[in-house]
Amino acid sequence: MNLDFLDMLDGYKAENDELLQKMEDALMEIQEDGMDDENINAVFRAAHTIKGSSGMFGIDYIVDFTHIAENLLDKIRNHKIEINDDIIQLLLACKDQMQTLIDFVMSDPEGEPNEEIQADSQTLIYELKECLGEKETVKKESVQEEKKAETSEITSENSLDKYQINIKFSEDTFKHGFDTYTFIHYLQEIGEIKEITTDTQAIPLFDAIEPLQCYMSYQIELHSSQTIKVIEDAFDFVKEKSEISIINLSAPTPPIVEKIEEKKDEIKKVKKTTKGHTAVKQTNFIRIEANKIDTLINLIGEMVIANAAVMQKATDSKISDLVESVSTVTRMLEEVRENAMQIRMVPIGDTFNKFKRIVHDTANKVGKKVDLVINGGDTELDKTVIEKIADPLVHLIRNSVDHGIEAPELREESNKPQTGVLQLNAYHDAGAIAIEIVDDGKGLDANLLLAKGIEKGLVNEGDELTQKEIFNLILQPGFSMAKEVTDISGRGVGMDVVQRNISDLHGTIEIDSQKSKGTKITIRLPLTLAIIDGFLTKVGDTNMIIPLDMLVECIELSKNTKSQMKRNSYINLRGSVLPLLNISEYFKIPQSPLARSNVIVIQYGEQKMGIIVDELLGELQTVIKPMGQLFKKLKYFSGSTILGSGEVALIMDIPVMIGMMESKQQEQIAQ
Amino acid sequence: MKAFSDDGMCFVDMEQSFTINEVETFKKEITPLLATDKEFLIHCIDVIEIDSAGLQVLISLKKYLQKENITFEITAGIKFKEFISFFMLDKYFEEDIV
Repeated sequence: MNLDFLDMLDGYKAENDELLQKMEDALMEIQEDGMDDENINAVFRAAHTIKGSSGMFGIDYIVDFTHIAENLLDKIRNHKIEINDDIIQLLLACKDQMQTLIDFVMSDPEGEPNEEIQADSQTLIYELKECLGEKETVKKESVQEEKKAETSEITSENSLDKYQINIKFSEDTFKHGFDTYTFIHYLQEIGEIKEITTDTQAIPLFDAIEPLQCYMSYQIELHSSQTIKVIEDAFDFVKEKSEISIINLSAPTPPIVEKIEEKKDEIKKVKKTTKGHTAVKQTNFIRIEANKIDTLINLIGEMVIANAAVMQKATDSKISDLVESVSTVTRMLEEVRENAMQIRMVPIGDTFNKFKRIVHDTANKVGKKVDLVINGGDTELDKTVIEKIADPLVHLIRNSVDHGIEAPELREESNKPQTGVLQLNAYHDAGAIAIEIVDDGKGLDANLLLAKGIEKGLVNEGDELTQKEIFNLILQPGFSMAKEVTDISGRGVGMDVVQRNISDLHGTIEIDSQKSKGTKITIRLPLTLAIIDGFLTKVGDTNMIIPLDMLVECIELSKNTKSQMKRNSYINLRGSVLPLLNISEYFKIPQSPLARSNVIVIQYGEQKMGIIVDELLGELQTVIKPMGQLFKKLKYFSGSTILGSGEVALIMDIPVMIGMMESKQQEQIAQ
Repeated sequence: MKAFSDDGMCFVDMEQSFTINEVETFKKEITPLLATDKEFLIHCIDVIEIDSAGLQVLISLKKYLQKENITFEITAGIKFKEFISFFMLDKYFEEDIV
């Protein structure tokens, strides 16, 4: 293996992971919508590129495996083999195996896969060969021998074309970490090398040679059934600067000569006529390590805090020019912060698309038919949040398929279509992102859940629970309605972990279900975990921040309104009842005698409430700092921040506040 | 790699590797000896890793020494032989391999 490859491992893995995901997406599309040339070509291209890049680095076990899969894909795209569900299953399994092999390269770049991995590869190769109609060959020969057998079979069937390849590698081939041997060796995968002539004349004498410069030129005679394009692709990584010509000597006169240089000129002309559209596309993206962005955002966070201190000092100094200048810096900093945060935002659709496979596999395993419908895939969310929400979503989706959606025959009995529908929806909602997992399955049976809750000791007999509270029982540790434990679900350890993961992200989970109609699980998550726009308030001496996205309006709590309230904890807000929470009373913070109470109306999801505070201090950029271990159990605050004055302000956890208010009201009703 | 020079004879032991990682040292160590030594033996018997950058510099040395009428010899191990066979250079090095 090329030693320079070790330095390029991360790039190799990232590129191939992307290709494998594209492969899976395209296969899932074929599964859903039927055979489509564009999709099958995408799968072929992905397999071909993985084989190519692995070949360049001498990872033969990936080349050998991918080669066979590529043969099948080639026949499918040329309509010689008809694709069906079994073949899609097989190709998906091959995609998984390629992932395993690539992961193995990462763990041991210079080793060979263990027997188990090799056996899996062999089994799949056997199945691929079966599809290709080459079963007998596999039984008799090893993989390497097969290739020779395959070549000789082809020879007898169709005569091979004779190609003359002239290649002069570019001077910087070695400097880029490539070895000319790997490219030529790779030609053996697509044909038989009959002759190689190394042009020793092109190599300078020892006293004049630059050892790191490549002077190597070769003339190769290759017998192959492949097209010039396929042979040309073998030199994909170096063809930009190298001089390559491929002549088909078997073709009728005049021979077809394809000079890559000429092709490059043609491409350039095409690019010009299409106004450089392709070029623009290529330069639109750059791959950046996530931790570089994290560092940038952390630094901006520190700048926001430092800037707040400068602003405070400028205001105290009462020098208007200074205040003006600092205000300009603050505005610019706000723009920098917004743009930097935008870098972290990624569409959730990429994660949703990965679930197609999970739905497909789980449904097949439990003998159900399920269509996955994705809405709002372009909704953007912080990368960290997306990474952390992926596992809980997998669990919820599996649960929906395994427990929610009924078997086809049962659905038919209930006058439902045999195929169930699972929807994944994402949308922005009051400063948060809402993700819904909706199925049209059998729904939750509240009576059964309650009985199970009593049996498990989670609910006391005689307790009167609302339907929502009953549904929430499934989020309790150890609660499972499954009669049998399967490898998909039923151990009762999943849903409480899902809830914990969502709480860790300062999100909430809500369950709504109708018997025989289906279940809707809504997860609400904050858009970001780093910096937010906040609204600063004061209660007594304590500073508190409310996330601005969740703030609806501020109103003064006049003496008149207070007298109307009497002892009730709600007001009439333009015809609607608004429950109120007096922060100073609830948290026992001594109120300043001069304080003029204000109500801040906040909203989360569809719930609204009012918070009574003493002072409204205005908007500010808030860098969220974790509360630390000591205050971990302080559930009404999601974090803290440092103000310009150096004081600490607590950031209110609005979803928790609203949840607390809701249960408080229910208690009052019960009394 | 290790290079020794004794009484007009240069002995270069490539040890296990003759790749892009060795070629610069190879040139640096051998160049001063070109003016003094009359016999060069490149010991490749233990080489298990070789690439085309190694092969290129070896061809370059052979060409130079041939032009200057200086003796050039190689000892070849299995890996080395396989590599030059792949490039069908067995005949080119036939007289040099001892």
